[in-house]
Amino acid sequence: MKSFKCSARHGYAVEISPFFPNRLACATSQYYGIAGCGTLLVLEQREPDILLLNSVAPGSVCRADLTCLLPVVSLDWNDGLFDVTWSESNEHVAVTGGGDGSLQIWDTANPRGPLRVLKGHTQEVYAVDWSQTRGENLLVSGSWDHTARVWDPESCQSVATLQGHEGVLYSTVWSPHIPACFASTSGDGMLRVWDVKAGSCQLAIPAHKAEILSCDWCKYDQSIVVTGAIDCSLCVWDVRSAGQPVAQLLGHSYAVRRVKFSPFYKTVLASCSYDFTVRFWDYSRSPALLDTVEHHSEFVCGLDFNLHIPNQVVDCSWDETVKIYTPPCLAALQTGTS
Amino acid sequence: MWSQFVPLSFAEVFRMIQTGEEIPGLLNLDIKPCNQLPTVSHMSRKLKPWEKIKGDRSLPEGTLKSPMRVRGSIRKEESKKDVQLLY
Repeated sequence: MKSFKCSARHGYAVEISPFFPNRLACATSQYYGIAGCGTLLVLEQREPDILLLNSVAPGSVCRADLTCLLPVVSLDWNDGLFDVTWSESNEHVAVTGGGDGSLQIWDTANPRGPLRVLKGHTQEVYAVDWSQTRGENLLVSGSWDHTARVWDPESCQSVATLQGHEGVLYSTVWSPHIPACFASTSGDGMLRVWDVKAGSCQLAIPAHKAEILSCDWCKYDQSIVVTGAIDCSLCVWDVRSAGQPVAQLLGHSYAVRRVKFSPFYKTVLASCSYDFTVRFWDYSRSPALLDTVEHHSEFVCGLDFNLHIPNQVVDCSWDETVKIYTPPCLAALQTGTS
Repeated sequence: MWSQFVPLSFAEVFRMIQTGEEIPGLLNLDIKPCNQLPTVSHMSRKLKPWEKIKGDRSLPEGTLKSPMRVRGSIRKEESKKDVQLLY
């Protein structure tokens, strides 16, 4: 496990670059996001330029993993940052959502400030996502103003505003399979699925009797979505028959803050929580809980699987650390889609 | 500046905001966009792991409309709140 200390910054979200296997972006806020500025940190896992190897015996072969998490660039914003997404079309570009209600488009190779600032939301932007479906370059944002907005990142224009939720939005995530389709979750306890081309909400599922802080799509079944809520549970839904969840995953002792489906295994997913833990689950098994990782001393808010390196995971926490690691429970799984 | 910084708990920061106390080390920045074009990209989008699987059983790209029968207590009045298209 490699750790990076982001002094005086509380991590809200983390995402590994879709281009560089060893690069990640972390959206952080000063003072827990309730006061002060925000910082987008770009980190890289690599061997440091200078190493002291006094303890290595002459002539011995050193096979140790000497990599560290090292800073690439640190980009400040006027308000706290709550989410980050990498561009799918330019390896240098990342987008964040901030406490001032705007989105910031960054060039991580140009530290002079954000390239563009997208205004429209009237309250905090808590979720941003760049579409992964090929041939499509769209941004979606979710805000505490109860709306989701879709943006064209090239023209920097808002192309749609989607209303329907009756509470603050906590997450907006594009389907990895269906173009122009995204899921959203809200403080109103609803999971909604939207079709941007049709311009309307396709599904509204009362997924929890509590605020839903996160959702994610299954990468190998286009109808499956997982939600994580303040009631400490995760629910796996087949959106075609949403009367009952496919699975309910219990174990966290405080709110579930973020959920992510594995890029490599159809029924494997991860969650992080205000109970300071990260948990790994396989909902095709009984019991579904694979492992609990307890290496943080504060809320764990950010979580991502590495798309390039199977079984590698990164997380970030209000304890001012970003950690990258390979949980043994994932390495023990067979590769494949089932 | 950082040598004088003492980490505060969430509760302490919250209390200081409510009482209007000055929070040490608080950064009030005035950053503006530079309105430049991004650094030119030299890499093409990679296939995701689920896109690389040959002969996978995922359905062809489409909408959720077929087949779809949604049961459960879905509030029908939600459908009246349609998209407000700005552009």
